[in-house]
This record gives sequence, structure tokens and C-alpha cells, in this order.
Amino acid sequence: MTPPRLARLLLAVATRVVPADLRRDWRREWDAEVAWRLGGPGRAGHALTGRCAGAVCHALWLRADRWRPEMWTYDLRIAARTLLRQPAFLALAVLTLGLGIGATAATFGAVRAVLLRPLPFPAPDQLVAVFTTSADAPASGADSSPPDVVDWARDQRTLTALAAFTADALAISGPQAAAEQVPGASVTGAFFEVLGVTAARGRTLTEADARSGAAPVVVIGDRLWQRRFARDPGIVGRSVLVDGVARDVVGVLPPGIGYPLGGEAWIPLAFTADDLATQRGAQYLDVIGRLRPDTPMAAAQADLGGIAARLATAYPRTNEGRGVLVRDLRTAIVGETRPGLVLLLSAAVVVLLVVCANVAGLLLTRALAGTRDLAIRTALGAGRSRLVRGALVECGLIAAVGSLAGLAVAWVAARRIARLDDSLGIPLIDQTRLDPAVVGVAVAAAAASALLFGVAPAWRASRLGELAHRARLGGSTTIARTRGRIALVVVEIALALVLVVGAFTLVGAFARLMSVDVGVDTSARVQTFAVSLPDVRYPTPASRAQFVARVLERVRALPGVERAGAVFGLPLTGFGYRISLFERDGVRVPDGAQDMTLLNVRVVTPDYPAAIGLPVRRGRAIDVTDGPSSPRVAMVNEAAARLLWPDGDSIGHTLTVGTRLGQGGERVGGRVVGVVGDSRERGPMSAPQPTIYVAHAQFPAAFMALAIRTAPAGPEVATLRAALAAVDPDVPMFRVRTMAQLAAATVAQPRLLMLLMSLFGAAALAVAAIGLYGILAQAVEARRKEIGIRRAVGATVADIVRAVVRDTARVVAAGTLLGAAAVATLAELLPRLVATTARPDAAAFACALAVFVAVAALAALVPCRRALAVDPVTTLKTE
Amino acid sequence: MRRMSATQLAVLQAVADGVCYGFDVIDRTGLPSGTVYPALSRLERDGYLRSSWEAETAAFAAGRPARRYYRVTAAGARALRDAVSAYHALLPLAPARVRGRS
Repeated sequence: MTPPRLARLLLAVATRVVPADLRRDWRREWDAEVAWRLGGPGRAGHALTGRCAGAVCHALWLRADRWRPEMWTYDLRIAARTLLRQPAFLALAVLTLGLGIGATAATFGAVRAVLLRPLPFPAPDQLVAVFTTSADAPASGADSSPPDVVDWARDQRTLTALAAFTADALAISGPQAAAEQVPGASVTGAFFEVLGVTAARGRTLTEADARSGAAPVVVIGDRLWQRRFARDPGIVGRSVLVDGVARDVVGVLPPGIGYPLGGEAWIPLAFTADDLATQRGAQYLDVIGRLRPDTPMAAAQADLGGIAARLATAYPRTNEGRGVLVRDLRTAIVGETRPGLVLLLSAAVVVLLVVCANVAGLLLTRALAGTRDLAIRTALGAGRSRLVRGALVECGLIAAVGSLAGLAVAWVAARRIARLDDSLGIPLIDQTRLDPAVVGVAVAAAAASALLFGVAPAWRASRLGELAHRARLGGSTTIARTRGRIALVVVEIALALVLVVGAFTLVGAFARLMSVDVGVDTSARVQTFAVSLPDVRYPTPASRAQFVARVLERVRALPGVERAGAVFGLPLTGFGYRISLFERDGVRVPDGAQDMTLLNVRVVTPDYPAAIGLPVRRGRAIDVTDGPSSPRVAMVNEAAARLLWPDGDSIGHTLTVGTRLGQGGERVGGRVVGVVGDSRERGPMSAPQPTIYVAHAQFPAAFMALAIRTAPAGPEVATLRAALAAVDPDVPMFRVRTMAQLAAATVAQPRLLMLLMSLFGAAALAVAAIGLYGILAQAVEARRKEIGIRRAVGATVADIVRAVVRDTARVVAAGTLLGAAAVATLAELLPRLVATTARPDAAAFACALAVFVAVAALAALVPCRRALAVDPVTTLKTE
Repeated sequence: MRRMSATQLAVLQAVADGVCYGFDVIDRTGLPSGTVYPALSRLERDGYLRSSWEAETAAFAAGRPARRYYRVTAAGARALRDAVSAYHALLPLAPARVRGRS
């Protein structure tokens, strides 16, 4: 390129950079210096071209000078002043934005804590959970038996380590503080090696601790160390009583490690040779493993599956049809909560979309109202960039304040979520935080919103400004822009409808759930708590029976107590203990058929059915005469009676199950003396299971729950605790709940899902209503003249109302149709995305429609009144 | 008083000496064009310079387009005096070899 051409190019580029209002003069100045010389006879040298490069610097400087901070603060001040002059608009925009951003950020925080953030262990991708499957449910995992686990651990080649544990409540007691029950686990030696956890102080458990004859030890969690031992630095080596056994604390785990769910204490789990010889049928162990580096999960699945197949051949009686399922640990922990969380996050995003659409609509309306203003500013020489920047600053300000409001909402919500009750059973939910990623999402949402609703209207407004300036009028594009606004509201209504239908669907499902009779009294008048008797203090069945009898005696003596009973296996607590039938009417159930008939085994004291509200349908309840030396008696529920003796009355028949409670070695069972009603032991979502009830006096269990029916003003929990302490101060009282709380806990997840969905639905509905109100009010305002003239020429009130209603109906109908299409599509798609059982039905849709009509009527009310208030005389005068 | 850089001072001084358009300032100060023009614009923005277009007749007579002429304003003259005296006040503090050069 020759020097003159390069110089011309530089000048041309620089000209584009110079702010438009300075361009003419700038060009003239440079032309006077350079251009005429370039055209001259050969005098344009490299020096001149160099000077032209300076023109680019000059242009850039002028441009940058335009954007200097003073201008920004000026714009900011103007924007703030403008917005403050319209407080209703500002509040609406900020509140709706805050709501949308807050809901999205908080929900994302929960999703991140539960589903996305890696488990708090090194190389969490290598962690797997191993389940035993059965022939009839090959895809769902169950717990495993000790001999199986030992065989897996010995023969497997794909894991660096395999460990088993059983989650348990451990009683920690000692001289200096009240006994307390903490969540914990009995774990095999490799447990901490699998997790990759090292102790913050001392050491973790090893294989040596799990050998029989090893010294009794315990590892405690950071929270327990803080709460009970006040961070005593000399904790390692101290002795504490765990379930009545003196154990040396060998280590403290770092903070944040609480696996299984909320665990605070870990003791070694050892199997005796006898266990391994006899317990292949006893499936009660959770199993975890760590994959060898670069080993896929499928290899572990094949490896362990092969071992399981060999075991099935070797032990056909117990292991026939048993397989192995290997899943990654996170999925195993949080699998069930995923659909609900994904649903909520989608709902939150929809709310955010509605909010964005609404704010965009608000701004569009403002831009329309400001057309004249823009035209004047353009006429006075404001460049396009100047106008766009003004609008951008304004939107940025709204978005920033909205983000702040959103963060405040999210912060409050996240704290609230993190403190949700453990009984909700959402693992890791307590880790919900407003961490940088979550804040990032919130701010990104705000920025996206600002871009979405800021740049477009500003850009259009500036063009409109120019257009209006050129055409000297401001109204030519009004209709097109009103259409855009209406389209936005239609979309808002459609999105809100989707959420509201979803909310009503969940409400319906929940109402159906709540109308299910659980079979026991779920009122707050039944107080329950659990006690766990340490083996060392209560070694004999008689001592346990005596303990429970003495506690009940003291409790019954308290004022306000009507009935008091105790049970091994309180309903609604997720208690299992299903045992196979062993003998029916003296006839031993053949080996192969044994596993087919499983019965819940419950041990009760005489007053228990009356206390818990379990109805005796036929015969009698177990009573005080059924003592340790009397003939063994049992009650069955109706499901068991139907299953075992389908042809006639079950009373008088005998049965035993394949477990020996207590140390006598006697199988649990007896002669049936009564039939009680069915109960849904795991809440309204579960089906009643065949259950056998035996007498505590005859089969004393070490772990019992007390059920106490009280008068409306029953004894305080502290009074009950004192009664228990009077019998034995070292036995802690734990899981103190009323039956109402237990019942609520079983439906806590669906309830929370329903509540949040309703909240999101209501929020979206409110925002859509605001949008609807906005366009209706605007339409009335725009047609004020027309309305006035029509009133003047004789239009009735009904005519005017009809006009507004027609506007409303058109928009709502369009939105509803769009929403209905979306709901129909989602109803097909959703079950595939999230395994939800609740599907939108006609009732939910009808409810949603009714709500929408009501809200639309409300939104139309004020514009309607305003239209009626138009005075024809005034209108005609101004014409 | 607004802080004034050495470049601006040089440009302002040149204009005060009667050098009245861009390229002339470049030649007089020896500063590059990418420095001089922004300095001129800045001084004008701050009110130290005022610019006007050369009379068309004069330009036509010289056979070229009309130039943009810069003039020092009263504020500019005051600022120049203050800045120069500030530099003079600084001079005794400077090392001897710098003083010797001036």
C-alpha cells in the first residue's frame, strides 16, 4: 500500500471513531492539514503517513473522553433521579427481578449442594455404592449380608477397598454431661480408607480395630467434639461411654465429614466366625467401595456380578437370584431427590423468565412513553450512542438493584433451606450456601435480564428517536411496539399457567396423600420417644422387660397421661425388621418358600394399641397376663390374617418367624389372640404390610419406642425425661416426636415440593397479572380520546366495560391456549425427564383456569374504572 | 488548579508563543501528532484554548483549505503562568545536571 493510500485509510477509520457531533469539524481540521498535501505533487512521504496515525490516536482520545467517568456518574445520577421519580415502576421492577433472581439463585444453591458439588471426599468419582439385588427387582438395590460382603471383599479385583457399615444411633454418656443419642455408624475396617478420610486429630479406624478382641474404640466427628467436649485438645485417648461400653476416642474427623447422613460417631464393626457361618440371609449392611484408578464402574459391576453369580450357585438357599448393583456413591445418596430438585429448578427458571418478560414489558412501555423526550433529545443533537448509553445505564441500575434484592432473597432462602429438618431426608441439603458459583448465576441472570430487556428497547428507542426526529412525529411505530408488549404478556401468562397447573397437580396429589388413613392416631396428642438399652447394663431379657415396665409405670403416674405403651418398631419411623415366616400351625414352612412370606415383627407392651390408636378388630389385645412364663401369644394385623389364613378366622392359630429375639434362643411367635387393623408403617405412600405383634414381656427388645397418649395439656418433654432419668440416668431419650410430627415427616418431601411449586406458581401468576394490568391500563390510556368520544355519542357503561373485557379476554385466551399447549407437551415429556408420578389432570387445569380468570378480572378492574372515569366533555374540549 | 502534564504545558506554551495550528505545534514542540492533537482537544475542553476557523479568503489566497486556529484564553494564560512558575519553583530542587541544561 502506498503511503498516501495508507494515510487516507487511517483517516477514514479514524473518522468513524470520532463521536458523531464532532465528526464534521474534526474531519475539516485534519483535511486542512493532511488531505490537500496528500493530493499534492509527490510530497506525501512517510512522515505524513506517520502523522495520520496520530489522527487515529486523536479520534480514540475524543471517543474515550466521551466515556470518561464523569459522564458515567452523570448518566447514573440522571438514571437514579429518573427512576426515583417513578417509585412504583422502580419498586415493581426491582421486586419482581429480586424475586426471580432470588428464587433461581436459592434453588440453584440447593441443587448445587445436593446434585452438583462433589462429595467431600478425595477423588469422589471413584466412590461407588454396592447393592444386593433380588430376582424380582434386579434394578433396585437392597442391603447386603455380612458373609456376602466378606466374600466380595476377598475376591474382587477392581476396587482398592470395599467396606460395609450399618447406620445406627449411638448413645454417648458420661459423668459430666447428660446422655445423648447421636447419629453414627458401625463400620468395617476399610471404611475410612474407602472414603479417603484422614483424622484431623489422632487416627481413623483400621482393620486391626475391627478384629475380635481388639480394644473398644470410637472415632468422633467435629460437631460432636465441639458440642460435647468443647474442642478439648486432649480428647484423643480419653474414654467415653458409647452404648454403655467404655471406648477410647482414637480420632476426630475434620469438619464437614458426616457420612452416613449426619454421622457424628463411628465404632468398629466386627463379624464373628459364627456370624459369617449363619448370616448369609441377614441383609442389613450398606456397602461402599473405591474404584481402582482408571477402572470404569462397568468393570466393577462385572467383577462383583461374577462373584455374586458364584455365591448364588454355592448358596442357592439364600443367594439364588441375588445379584449385585454398582452405582456411583452420589447417585446412591441423592438419587431419589433428583427429580424433585430438577423440577423446582425448572420452575424457578420459568419464574425468572416471566419476570424478565415482565420487566422488558415495563421498560418497553416506558420507552414508548419517552418517545417524545427522545425525539427532543435527538433534535438537540444527542447521538445514538448517547441515548443508548443513557438507557443502558438505567437498565443496568435496575438490574443491579434487582440483583441486590435477589441476593438478599436468595441469602435468606438459602439459610432457610440449609436449616430444613433432617427428617426431610434430603441428603447434603444442609450444605446449601450462597457460594460464588451461585452468586455468579444470580448475577449472570441479572446481566442477561439487563441485556434482554435493556439493550433491545434502548436500541429501538434510539432509532425511534432518530426516526421521530426525522419525521417530526412520535407515534408512527406505536402499534408495532404495543404488539411486542402484548406478545410478552401472552408469553408471561402461558408460562405462569404452566407453573400454576403444575402447582395444582402437586396440591391435588398431596391432598390425596393426606386423605389416606395411616391406620394409627397421627395427632399431636400421642407423644413418642425412643430408648436404646446398652447390652452391658441390661444383659438379660428380664432386665430389659423390667426397665420398660418401670419407665411406663412412672410415665402413667404423671398427670395428663391417659395411656402409655412401648413398641419395638414405631410406625412412621422407617423401621424395617421384616422376617420370614418359619412355622404356621406347627408346620414348618419349606426352605424354598420361606423367603416368600415376610412379616413385619413388632414387640409391644399391653397398653400400646390403645396408646397409639391401633384398633383391635377381633379377639383381644396382648395384656398384662401374658407374662414371661405364660404361653406365647401374638396379634396379627388384617393383612397378615388374610395372607396366612385366607379361609377363616385366624384366632387360635399359631405361627413363628425366623428370628430369635433376646438371648433365650426362642423363635418369635405364639398363638394368635387378636387381630388388629392395618397400618401404613412408612406413611401414606406405603402399603400396609402383614405384621405380627408379640408381647414385650415374652420377647424383650433392647430398642424400644414409647407411645404416650396424653390429655390436651399433657406433660412436658422435660417431665418425661425426668421420669426416664429416675429409672436410669445413663439411658438417653431420643427421637422425641409427636405422632403428628412423625406423620408430617413422612410427607415432608412432597409437602415441600408442593409448597415451593405453589410459591413459584403464585409468584409467576402475580407477575403475569402485573403485566396484564400494565397493557390494559396502557390500552385504556391510549384510547382515552376514543372512549371519551364514544361516551359522548352515547356508548353505555356496559359498552365500555365490554371493550376492556374484550381486550383482557383476547390476551388471556391467547396466553392460556399457548400455556395449555405447553402443559400438554410437558405432560408427555416430564415423566421421561423426571420420574414423577403426579401428572397434570383436568381438575388441576380447571383450578388453574379459574384462578387465572379471577386474577385477570382483578387486573382489568382498575383500567376498567379508569375508562369509565373518562369525562366526555373534557375529551371533546381538548379536541 | 487542574494538574497539567509536561506535554500539555509544552503545547499550551507553543500556542501562547503564537503557533496556532496543529501541524505547526508538532513541528515546534517535536512531539508526535498522536500526542499533540489529544493535548489540543483536552486543553480546549478544559477551557485553556479556544479554536476558530481560518478565514476562507486567507486560506484560498494561500491555496489550501481553511485551518483550525487555536488561541490561548484568559484562563489558559493564567494556567500557563501558574504552571511555569510551579516548574521554576521546582527547579532548585532538581539535580544540578538538569538545572544546567535549562
